Amino acid sequence: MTQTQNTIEKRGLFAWLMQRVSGVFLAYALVIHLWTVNVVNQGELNWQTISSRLQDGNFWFIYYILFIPAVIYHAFNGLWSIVLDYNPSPAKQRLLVWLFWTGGIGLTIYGYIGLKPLFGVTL
Amino acid sequence: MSLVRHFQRLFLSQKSVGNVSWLLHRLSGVALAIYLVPHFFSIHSSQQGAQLFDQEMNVYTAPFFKFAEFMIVMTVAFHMFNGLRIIALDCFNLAGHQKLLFGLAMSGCAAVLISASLLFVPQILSTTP
Repeated sequence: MTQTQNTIEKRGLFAWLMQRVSGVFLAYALVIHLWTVNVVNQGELNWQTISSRLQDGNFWFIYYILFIPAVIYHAFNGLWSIVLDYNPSPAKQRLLVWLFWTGGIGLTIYGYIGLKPLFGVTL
Repeated sequence: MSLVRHFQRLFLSQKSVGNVSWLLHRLSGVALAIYLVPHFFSIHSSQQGAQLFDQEMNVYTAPFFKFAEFMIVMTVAFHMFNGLRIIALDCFNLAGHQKLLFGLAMSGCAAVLISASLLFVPQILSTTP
């Protein structure tokens, strides 16, 4: 059995596939994020620059709607993969699944709330 | 697998390209997952208004934070190129080309290292943020 087949067997096909799908998307999204923050907005990373960029068309809205859950899913799914390597008991697995999902959804909402004022949303 | 075994695998067993990159991929992934939390906290300061947000953003222009950003960019670059290498291995049956793929991934990292150095080193050495 190959390493890939082993991983799929242990983690399930969906989690394995989604780690790769989110990874490819993040390779694209993180290049844009790092390029924009460090090169395009270099020396001008402030409220004015960021909020006017985010409010310029729909691109950044769609981008962050996808980017935040993708980065959090990839991080927690990767951590879950590490957890499984330590063969935790089913009870510990249930607890950690609950913690990871709660933490992940919480952090996603927290991220959206953090960006809201910069998008000019006052709700 | 315990951390001790991770290091045994790296330093005591056969030092294959796969073992080293496997451990580095895992360590860089954990580091980036941890970094996400303070990163989200800092963006959340937008809730306190433009002035406080700008004050916080201004703190990150200090050389120490620029050095940290440089390290984060390199960590992201390694994790990204090595992750794409793993995906290529998994999806395109390229197990016979491990060294070539690793070479390509490391070339990508080297390109990022050179260009990021040109960007960050002057900012790190700058005395006026």
